[in-house]
Amino acid sequence: MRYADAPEQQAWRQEVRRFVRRNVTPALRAELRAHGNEGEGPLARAFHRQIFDKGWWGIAWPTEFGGLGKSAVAQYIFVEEMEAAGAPAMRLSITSVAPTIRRVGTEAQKERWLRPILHGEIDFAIGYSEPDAGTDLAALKTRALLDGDEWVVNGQKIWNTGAHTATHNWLAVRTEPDVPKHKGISLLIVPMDRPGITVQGLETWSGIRTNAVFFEDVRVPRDYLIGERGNGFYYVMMALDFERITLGSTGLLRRLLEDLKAFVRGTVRDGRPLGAVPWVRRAIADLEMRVEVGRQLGLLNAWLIDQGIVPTKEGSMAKVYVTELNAQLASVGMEILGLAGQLAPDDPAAPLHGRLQWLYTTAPLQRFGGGTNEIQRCIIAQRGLGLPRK
Amino acid sequence: MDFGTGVDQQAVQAAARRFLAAEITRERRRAWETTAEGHDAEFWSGVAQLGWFGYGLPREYGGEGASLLDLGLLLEECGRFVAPFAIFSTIAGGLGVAALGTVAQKRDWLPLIARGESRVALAVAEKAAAANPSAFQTTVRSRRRGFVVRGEKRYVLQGVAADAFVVAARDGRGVSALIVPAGAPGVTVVPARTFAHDRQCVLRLDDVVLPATALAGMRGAAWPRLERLRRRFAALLCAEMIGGADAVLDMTARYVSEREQFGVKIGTFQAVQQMIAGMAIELEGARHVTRQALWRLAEGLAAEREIAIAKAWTGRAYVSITLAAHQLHGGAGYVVDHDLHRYSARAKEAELRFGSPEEWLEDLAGRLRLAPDGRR
Repeated sequence: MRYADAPEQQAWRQEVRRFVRRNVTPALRAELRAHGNEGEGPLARAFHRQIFDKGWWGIAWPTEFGGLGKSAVAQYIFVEEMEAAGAPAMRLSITSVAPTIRRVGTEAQKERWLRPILHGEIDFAIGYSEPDAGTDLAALKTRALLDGDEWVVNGQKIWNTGAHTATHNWLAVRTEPDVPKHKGISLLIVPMDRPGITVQGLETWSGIRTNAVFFEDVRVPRDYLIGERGNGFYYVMMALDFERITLGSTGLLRRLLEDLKAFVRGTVRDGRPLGAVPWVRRAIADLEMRVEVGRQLGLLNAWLIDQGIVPTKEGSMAKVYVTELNAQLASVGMEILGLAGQLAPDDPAAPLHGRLQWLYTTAPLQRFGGGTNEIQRCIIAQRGLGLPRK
Repeated sequence: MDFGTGVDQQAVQAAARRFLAAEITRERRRAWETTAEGHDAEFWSGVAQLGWFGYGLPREYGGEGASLLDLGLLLEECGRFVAPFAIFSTIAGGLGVAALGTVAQKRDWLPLIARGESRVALAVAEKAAAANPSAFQTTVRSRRRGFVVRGEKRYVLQGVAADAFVVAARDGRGVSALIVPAGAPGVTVVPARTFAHDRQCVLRLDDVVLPATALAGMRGAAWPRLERLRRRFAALLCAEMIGGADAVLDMTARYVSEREQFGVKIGTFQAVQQMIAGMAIELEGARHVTRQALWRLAEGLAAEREIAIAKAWTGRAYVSITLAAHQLHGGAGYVVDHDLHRYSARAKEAELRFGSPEEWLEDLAGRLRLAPDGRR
């Protein structure tokens, strides 16, 4: 048992910290805030190139694929330090798509896709949901039919975030129309430059742009189907498990809480230092406790992966807990900021650059996205504690 | 990071589990309810033979020198079976003497405690004071070559069965700790009735005359060490709590997986699954903030922040888990024949003891230095 970084983890944390201190500049953070998810600005692109050159997008990856061959805990430490520094987030291509290809792809597919993903030459949008298939993903209707050596895709995806900037789409499609709905789905890579794709923007409350994407007789090569035909639903579930590893990081919350404490120390309201107001003290201590609990749950999840265990229960616990805490920290934090809490990120007077207000509007997405928290709780109860399904 | 328990730690937990599962039968528990001590002599000597009372005591006084982390893992198992709380309080009494006592006092008491032949109870809290020494009404004065102690201590764990008490008493500007034999003239033990039936008492000290050798440590200088002990007991109590919470979650998951209504297992209802998942998350968090605090203590690292977090979170979590369990068990878990109420009452008492969640959150706020000039 050891509830602290091992010496090599400590050294790794210091290395990441030194890097972000030098390279995550106020100018880069300002660019990230201004760009939202409209692709990368020049500073973010340069930053990512540095990360790719170091092999840091593939920390837990075997060295044969250009990764560092480190543990999942090392990856957690990396995400934690990157978030704490306000660095650009890990892409889903890296955290979700690539590990799935590595697990289920053929040797030729691994050869074809992994290196370009890790080097940032290929970036995916994730296309699972459809207007009538959200939480009930297996109800999806977008179909792909084999015509000679090509798949022909027809249908519609929604919440296809990043489709307007991505090079490829990671698409769940129905390839076997005559079998039970969970068993007829496959995963297909669709290059976004193929004819027949229409991308329609959807603006969301947080300012994040997402998309509805239409596919009309879009043709892709036969071997762009990843893994086995008909196994796609299970691959999606696996990809979501991988995605939740990074959702369980508390680096961002840690940073926002430190900023909030600094605000409290420096603020006098109605003639009284905020740090002397009982409810403010209590609220900050409560958040300090909750963030620590979340950190333990996230680390536990990463540690279990290193033990060769697929942490379905713990991954869901970390996802539920940390995303609920996002919403809570944003809400309580804004209450502490007082009337200034409502100021938007682009208002120069906004405390913490409006990050709490930003978190407040993105927290709902985190709670219902990546598998709703209600579904996660059912997973915890059924797969973790053996409750009956029927 | 390493969230796993070692082979030795697993062996200790497994042995404790086997012993407690075999010994604590329904009939025996019923019989214990009518006794003054809350257990029987045979059970007590069984625990003593396993070496639990001396497990965390120094080797030179007959103990095994186990770390607070290992002690915590053992207490997790006691919590799992809601074993008589006398085990916890006897272990705590031993640690108290080891931390505060003189060499002579340790030589007198620790080997006896380790063998299960003596018990020392800690008497710190009063009617109107728990954590502020200047609020203590119990005082000690010098008299000839000894002392006179006067006052009243409350919520003393296992007072009825104690052979001596470690009493905290105001001494001029400071606080002194003294070891007071239960049989000394002027000592009266009045049983208190608590809803977890854990045999607490009121300790009355009417001008109790003590020799100079009764003083534990330096005069007027005991408070920092008493506070340090309170933090350690808080962390150890968290270990007891997570064992109990684990058992409650387990029995509740089993119950809802068997109980049928409307022709289906109630565990299939999403409302039930949401509650069970919430309990599981609270427990998993509690397990690791608790073990983190104990691990830091065992490693000799600063652990004040982690203990505050552990006690605040775990206190809340155990209470919340037991109350959710009552909701999910309905009437089946409400009858005294079912063990659930033992966990529920223990949970609420443990939440209050050694600092409540709100008190620990205020302690934590102080450590975060939120005042503008860096003060607490």
